[in-house]
Formats: sequence, structure tokens, C-alpha cells
Amino acid sequence: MSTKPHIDQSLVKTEEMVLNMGPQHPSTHGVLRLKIHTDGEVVSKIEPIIGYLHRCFEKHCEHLGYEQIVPFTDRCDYIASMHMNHGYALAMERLMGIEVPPRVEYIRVIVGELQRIASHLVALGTFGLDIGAITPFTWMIRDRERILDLFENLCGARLLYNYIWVGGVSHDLPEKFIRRTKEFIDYFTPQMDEFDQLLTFNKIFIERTADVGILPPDVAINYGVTGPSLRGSGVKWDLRKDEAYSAYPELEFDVPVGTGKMGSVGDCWDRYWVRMLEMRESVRIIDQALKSIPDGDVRAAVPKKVRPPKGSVYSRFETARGEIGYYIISDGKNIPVRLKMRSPAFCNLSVISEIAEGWMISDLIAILGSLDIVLGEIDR
Amino acid sequence: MSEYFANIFYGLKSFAEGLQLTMRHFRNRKDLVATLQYPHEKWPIEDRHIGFPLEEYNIIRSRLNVDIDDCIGCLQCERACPVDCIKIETIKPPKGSDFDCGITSNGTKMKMLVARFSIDMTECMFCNLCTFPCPEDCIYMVGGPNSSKHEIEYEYASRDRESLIFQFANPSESDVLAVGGENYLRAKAGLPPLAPEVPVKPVETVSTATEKPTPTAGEPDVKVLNGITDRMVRATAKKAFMAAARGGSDLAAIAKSIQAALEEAGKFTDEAKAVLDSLAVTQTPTPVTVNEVSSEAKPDIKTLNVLEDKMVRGMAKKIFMAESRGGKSASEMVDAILAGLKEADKLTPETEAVVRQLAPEVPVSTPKPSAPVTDFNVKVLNGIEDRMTRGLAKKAFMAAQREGKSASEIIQTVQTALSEADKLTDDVKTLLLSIGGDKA
Amino acid sequence: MNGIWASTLDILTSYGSMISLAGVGIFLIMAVNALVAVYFERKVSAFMQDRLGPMEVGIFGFKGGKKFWGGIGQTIADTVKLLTKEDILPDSADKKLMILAPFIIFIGAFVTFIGVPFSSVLLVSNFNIGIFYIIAMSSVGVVGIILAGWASNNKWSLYGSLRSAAQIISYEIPAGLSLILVVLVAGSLNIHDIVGWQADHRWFIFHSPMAFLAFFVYFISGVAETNRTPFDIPEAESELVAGWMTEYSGFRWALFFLSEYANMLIVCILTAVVFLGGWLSPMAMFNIFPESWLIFDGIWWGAFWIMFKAIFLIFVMMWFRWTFPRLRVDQLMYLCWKVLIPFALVNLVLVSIWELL
Repeated sequence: MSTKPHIDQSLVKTEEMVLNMGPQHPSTHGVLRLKIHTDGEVVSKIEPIIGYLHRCFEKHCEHLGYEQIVPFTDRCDYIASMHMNHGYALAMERLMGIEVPPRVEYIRVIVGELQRIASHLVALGTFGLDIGAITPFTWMIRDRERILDLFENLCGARLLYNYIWVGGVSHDLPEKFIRRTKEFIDYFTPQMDEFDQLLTFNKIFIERTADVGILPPDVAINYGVTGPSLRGSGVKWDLRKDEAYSAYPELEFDVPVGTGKMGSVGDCWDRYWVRMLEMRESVRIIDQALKSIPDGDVRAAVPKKVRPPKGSVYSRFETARGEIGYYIISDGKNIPVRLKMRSPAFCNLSVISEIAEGWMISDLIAILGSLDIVLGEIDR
Repeated sequence: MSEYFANIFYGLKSFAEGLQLTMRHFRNRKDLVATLQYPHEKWPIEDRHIGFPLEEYNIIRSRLNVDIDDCIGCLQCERACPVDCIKIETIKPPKGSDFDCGITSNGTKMKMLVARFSIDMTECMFCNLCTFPCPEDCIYMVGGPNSSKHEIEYEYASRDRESLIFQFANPSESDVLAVGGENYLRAKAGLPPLAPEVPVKPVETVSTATEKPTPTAGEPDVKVLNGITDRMVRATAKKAFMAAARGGSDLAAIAKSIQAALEEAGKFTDEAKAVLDSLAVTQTPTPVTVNEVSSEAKPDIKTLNVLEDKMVRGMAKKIFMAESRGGKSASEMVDAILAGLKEADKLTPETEAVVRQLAPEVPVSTPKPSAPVTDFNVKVLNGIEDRMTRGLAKKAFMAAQREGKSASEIIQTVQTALSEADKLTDDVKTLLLSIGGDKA
Repeated sequence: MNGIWASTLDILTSYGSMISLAGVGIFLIMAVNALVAVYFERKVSAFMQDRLGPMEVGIFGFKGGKKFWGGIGQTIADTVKLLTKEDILPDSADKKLMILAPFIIFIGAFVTFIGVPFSSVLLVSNFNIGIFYIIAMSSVGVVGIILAGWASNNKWSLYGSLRSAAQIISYEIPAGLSLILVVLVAGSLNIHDIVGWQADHRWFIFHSPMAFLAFFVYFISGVAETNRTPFDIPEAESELVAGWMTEYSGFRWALFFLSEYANMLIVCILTAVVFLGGWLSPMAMFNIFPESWLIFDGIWWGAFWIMFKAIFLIFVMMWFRWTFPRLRVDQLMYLCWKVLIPFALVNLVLVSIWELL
């Protein structure tokens, strides 16, 4: 008797497996929950579920004085708090028509670029961690600690600074700050070569990230993706250049964009590489700013009572993650009527279902890592 | 095919480079180790001195500290705090009090006593906003090597939440009492606050103003006994209470008589004892030395606003203020004002009438040693058990009161009304007598 | 009658004591290996990452003044912690299989040690099929891994176990092909014969360019078989939480750990025996050293040399782990089927020709 295997197709039932990735998962960068439908290892559908870290930031602001909002903006993007402070201060200064002394602008640029380096170090380190490289992460965290030391010296806090105020900064630079920042730059430049050697040009890393999760420029623009994730797709859009604020017009720097060096334009490697190059640009900016920082009083323009005139303002700012936008409506009282925040990481995350479907679970992790999200800012 | 081998070659090359790099770190660990063994080695805290008087304070944010001796209680830090973790309570000494609140190290004279200054560090978000508005620089963040003014502390971890709530102000009880903070102390002890005090305008002598008891404190309240759970016991106790209260005895005596009644009935439980104790404790310390005049005939400067002539009004008010500062009584004040106006030749009959309103003609009653005058309202008749009788008595009472009769007259009226209706039982008679009917 | 019984009993007890002695010895080696290797791994990783690693527990702690190699009691403390931890079996798990799985994995590693030599005489059984036995037995663990992943009733565990099965089965092929190359040259599966061949000629790694390549193919396959980075996709803590070990805790998890490090030791000892001359001292290979240096040969020196080589290879494995990122599943398969297996096959053919010449 022949035992020819016979498969009755009507009896074979296949269905997609629904996987819950997060909110407690090592690679979701916080408390993000991804509901993924998988066919084998291949992801066919992704539903990001957010809100686990929602703290009513915008509603809170409607009951806080304008000065009191600053520490709350810190807590949105806790990886790059300086940028959140700066974005808010910029919006308020536009609303109130405050002219900020040039020294303040330079201080803001210096701390902002240091913060950008620190933020990118975390982003790249955790990206490497997602791919499975643990050593680069510890090295990057080591260097970030040095920046945090500088900030501690500067304003007394390591993570949530409340440093950039409406109309100025809370403290002037300490006496040794400029020297120490120079030392840091001298120390840090060779470290970036080490990161490149260990991780960026590692064959396994390239295999894992190049040509993975390609984000075409038109899709990126349609979804409102900003920051390094957008520039990774080859779109040259940086508010520091295109809507130059603060002291940026006086400083010389390039805007790196993804070129598809290892694969195609807009893949995970490009997004990684843009951040790597941006750190070098930040070092360049800090170097120039330290040389040309003027003297002056840093709290001259700080108003005694922040009480903007009636009206509204929308102001955007380039953080380490993209464009942060503050929309503030004032009715002339000392608390805002409404404060709306446009979160860059939220828009960047929204694109994930577009670019990660059809890839494997491991790739989904890599793509998520390359988008560099911070849940504190997405959920607010 | 060539790409295949190129890939392999590139891979091997990059692996070799990576391995070389990690090996370099492995070999040079002595120079490259970036961590510290925390409890044994400590990272040097950034020694940045910055602040309000420059070079004085450290801004490293580890904990809030307050120099309470310098705090003037201006509440600016409390207002600046976005999360309301600072709680300040101040007591302002009454006018005329010679309590010395002290002088800050900046030389500012403190105007009030800071009774409570608590910072809940479990709520604090370390934003540093409270330290900037402080006019005396007495609230600041600590955490690093400070100047000699402040102690150095490094870690502020704690095993329980309670120890993270810092109470900076700790005034002595006598200080609080000296600035008139009885309510504050009562609230601290979990007692209900005293009734809202009459704004202190020392019309009478200072002593009467401060000794003035609460209207309710001396009143024997049968509700205290609701604390007894057993119904039977409660009823017995209440009956005894009422009887004793009607007899006009003070609280201690009431408690004693209740105890006796309960013991007789064999129902004197521990619970009842506790309730009686609380009765004695909460209510006895107020001796019934009521000065009716001080509360009822309080002269009000606003009365003078009726005066139409600006000059007259101003003059009258001036005299009023001077007299009240001198602590004169209402009638003396009226006399003074009238005299003053007469001197200036401004005294019209209308003015005189207005001024006289300051001191009501009829002082309501004089203090009675046996019966608390505050009892003298219609509620005293609630002791009458028969409903009909009670209603009748109350009606007569209200009518008489409306006519403005004095207490003894009112009681007389009630008595007459009841006897007319033939309802004047012995019980009621005793009750009426107990509230002063006998004086009629 | 009496005599027969007595002699039977004698044989039985002598065998029994031998077996139990061997068992206890193997278990001790596994346990000590795990303790030392975990400590070693933690230190190596720490130094590569500019850290110090465990420094507190043990006499050479930070307080003991040892700046870099302190904290030697850490793994003992960790073991005590693992053994006293609460043993959790998830409610919806298949409890019998879940309890069984760690033991299968452990037994797989344990039984393999019967054929693994620690010296020319420190060998439980000198099979005539020594290498074949080791390869066969080290594959038993896969069954346990699949059971563990299935019985946990956790989706991540299932992914991990199936990845692991696919990976281990695939990498058996290049590993086996590389070993066949050695067997072909030495003409025997017996470990003594293979080392004997190396004693007569030279270390196998220096036999020919093909053998040199085969060493790397085998070692890479060995790293993959022990599920270590860059081939740690079954665990892949950033993707699958902890892979097939997700639901395990306490004692059962300790067994996994023990087996993992035992497998590492097996692979490294086998590499050392087959390619690096086993218990032969490096001096004996080259004839340039004076005769007096050959005192480093012998039974106990042999044990030293074999462990020295194995520990060096373990260090290389750790070095890999803390340098490289992780491959993806399909890339792993690509590496196996499209790179390693073709190389191994070509190697085999070339070595055959080499031997004929």
C-alpha cells in the first residue's frame, strides 16, 4: 500500500499570530505597546498603542503660570530636556516680543548642541543594543555621562534642567565651563571614530540595518516625519538652517542627509549615519560658539512676571528628534488658555506601520530603534 | 561571485577591526575604566557656587533646605512651586502685641511667626523655581560642598516616605500661643477650630478680648453622649444629662451626675466612661465668664458712614479711632464723639442719633453667676417634655422676645401664659426657675 | 555458586563505583566550569566596556584592595540566589513538559562529557567512535529546547525554541564536515588516535591551509551551536525577551545556565583536541626547543594544556560576544548554508586531494 502523504487543504488551518510587544519589552524604548500580527517571523500588521505614560502635560499647563511650565517641558522629552526648554522659551519670547541678549543665545546654542550629542548618543547606543551590540552602548553612555557632568556643573541637574527660561537662562556659565567643554570636545572626537570602527562599519551591523525599513522621502513628508529620521531619507530640512533662530545664523555647519551609502536612501543605516554625522556637526558648532561667545548679563531680559499680551503663537524648534512645536494661546493672564505641543517622536512613530510591515520581528526592532522615539514625549 | 567574496572579505576585515578595538580596551582597562565603585569611591560633586548673593550657594539639586530663622513667611516659594510640595502656615501677631518675631540675617524684621514650613520631597520635582523668588535667600537646594553657611550632605535616600517630608519650622507652643495661634494648635491636635473670631478691635481692654471664650464652648451639649453605642445606656445618660443641665450645674458636675445615674442602673461601661471623660476634657476648660457687652455692643465704625457731611464724618471717625485705640468702651466713645462734635459746633440732632447707635441703649443683660446667659434662647425650653406645653411656652417666649423684654420678663411672660392654659406643671416650673425665672 | 555471586557483585560494585565516581566528577566539572566561566565572562565584558564588573562579593573585593579582579564570590552568591528563588510554573503551561525540558538539556550536556577528554587518561570512556559520540550527544539538547519553548505556552518562547532548533540543526552540518576532514586525515574517530596523529606529525590546524580554514568553520559553527552572540538569536534579549528561557526561573533556569556553559566547554575542548593538539604541549610541536622543556608533557601537564587551550577559546567566544551585534534569522541561515557549508565541502575535497598527493 502506498503511503503517499495526502494533505487535505481544507483541514489545514493557518492564522496569523498576534503578538504583544510591550509595554514591558526590552526594545520598545519605554512603555510603548506594539500589537503585531505575524506570519511566522514576518510582521504583517503593526498597531502601535500609546498612552501608558500620559501625564496630561497640556492640561496641566492650563493651570500653571508660564514660568512653571518650563520644568514640565523638561519631562516630556527627558533625553533632550534642554531642547524642550529652548523650544518653549523661543515660543514665549516670540509671543512677548522679547529681545534676548546675544550671550544668552550663544549659551543656548552651546548647551543645545551638547544636548544633541547626548541625545544622539543614547539613540545610537540603544539602537546598537537593539541590534545586539552591547559594548557600543556602554561606551556611548560613558561619554554621555561627561556631558551630563557638564550640565550638572552648569545648572545643578543632570537630566531635567529647567535651565533655559523665558528671556534668558537661569544661571550664567560657571567659570570653568568653557574650558571643560573644550576638553570634552577634544576627548570626544576620537571616540566617534571608535564607534564607527566598532559598530557603524561592522559587517553584521550593516547587514542588519542597510536596506531595512526604507522610508521614502515622500512618505516621510506625508507623515510629518522630521529631524534625523527625515534627513536620513535625503530631505535637507533642518530648522537650524531653514528657519534659523538663536545664534545659528552666525555659525557655520552642514546639514547631513542620508545618501544610501550602504544600501538605499532612507534605510535604517542612513538614519543611524545621519545622527553620527550630526554629532560631528554639533562638535563643530560648539567649537565655533565657544570661540565667539560674547559677554553680557544672562538674565537681563528675564521678565519679572511672565504675562504675555493677548494673542497666540506657534513656534517650532529643531530638537534631537525633530520639530517640536508649541502653540500657545494667551488671554493676557499669567496662565495660558491653551498650550498645544507638536511632538516629533509621535509623528516619527506613526510612520512605523508604513515602513516596518513585511519585515521580520528582528527588523521591526531595528526600525523602531532607528526612529529614536521617546515615550515621554509621545504620550506627554 | 566577486561580490560574494568581497562581502566575506569586508566582513572579516570589519570583524578583525572590531575585535582589535575591544581587545585594546581589555588590555588598557587600567586607564580606560570609567566607573567608580560607588559606596567606596564617590564622584566629586560639581563644586559650583552660584546664587543670589553670588558665591554663597550651591545649585546642585539634591534636596531643598530652608534656613527657617531667616524665613519671613512671605509665601513666595509656595506660590512658585509648580507641584505644591511646599506648605507654609504663618500666624500674624495681633496688633499691639509685643511679640518679637526676630530679625533675618539680611536684617529684615520678621512680621509673623512661621508656624509650619513643610516640604514634601516625595513630591518635589527639583525644578529649583522656589529658590529664585526668595527675598531672604533662605530656601535653597543643597547637595554639594557648600559654603560655611550650610552643611554638606551627599545622599538623601530614605527607607520610608515619612522621613522625606521635612518640617523646617518648629515653633514652641508658647510662641504660637503668644501670637494668638490657638486655632492653629487646635487644628494640629485634630480639634475643630474655634469659631471665627471677631476681628480684633480692642474696644474693651485687651484682657477681655483675649479671654473671650467661644459661645459654644461652655454649652453642655447632649450630643457628646451619642458616642455611647448601647441605646439603653445612652438614654439613661441623656436623661441624667438633661436633668443635671437643667439644674444649672457645670460640666464636671453633669458628668458626675451621669456617672451616678449609670452606676445606679448598673450600666456604667468602659465605653461610657471614655465618653464621659472626653466630655469633661473637651468642654470643661472654659469657665463661664461671659461678657455679653463685648460681643453684642461692639461699636462699628461703619455706623458712622451714614453721616452725610464729610467734615462731620471725618471728625467723628477720627475721634472714634483715637478712642478705640485707647481701649474705651462704646458708651465712653459715644460721649467722646458727641463732645468733640459739639466743640466743633457740628452737632445736629441727626448726627447725635447716628452716633448714639454706636452704643445701644439697652445692654441686654448682666452676667448671671448661676445660669449661662448664652443659654438664653428658645432652645432652653426644649427641656419641656410635653409637646403641647413646649409649643405654648415657645410661642410665648418668642412673642416676649420680639417685644424686646429682658430675660426675666420673658420668663415671667412664659410662666403666665402657661398657667393661663393650665399647663404649668412642676416640671416646667423648675425648668423655668432654673433659667432665671426666680429672679423675676 | 557462592563464588559466582561474589564475583558478579564484585564486578557490579566496581562498575557502580566507577560510574558514580565519573558522574560526580562530570557534575563537579560542569558546576565549577559554570561558576568560573560566568565570573570570567562578567569580568571580560566589563573590561571591554570600560567597567569593573562584580567587585563586592568575596575576599578580593574592592575592600580587599584588588582593583580589577575582585568580587570572586559573586557567582557563588548568584548560585545561592538562583537555588533559593521561587520556582514559578505558569498557570497555562504544560507543566510536565516544562519540568522535563531542563533535565533533557542538562542530560544532553552531561552525557556528552563521557567522551570528552581532559587529559590522555582523564577520560571516562575511550570510545572508538569518540568524536561521533560527542557530536551526536550534543544535539540531544535541541529536544529539550523545543520542549521548553513549547511547554512554556509563551509566544516569545516558541519563537526562541524554533529558531534555536533551526539554528542548531543547520550548524551541525558545517561542524560535522569540518570534523570529517580531521577524521579523514587521522583515519580514526577515536580521540586518542587523533591526538596521536598530531603528536606524530603536527597540530592539525597547521596540517594544511584547508585544515586551517576548517578550524575557523568549526569554531564558528561551535559558537552558533552554543547559541552565543553573534548567533544568539534564540535568546535575543532585545527581540524575544529571553527566548525559550523566558518563563523559567530559579533552579530550572540554573540548569539551563549550567548546560549552556557546559556546552561551551565541550565545544572548546573538542576544538582544542581536534585542531590544537589536545593535551600536547605547544613546545612539543616545534622541535626548536631544548629537550629539557619537554618536561611539560605528561598526564597532569596534559590536563593543564588542554584546559589552557579550551579556556583561551572560551575567551575568544566571549570576545566575540562583546564585540559583535546579532545576526538576523535569515542571515544566520545564509551564513550557514551559503558560506560555511560550501567552504567546508570544498575543504573536504581539497584535503582529500592533498592527502592523495
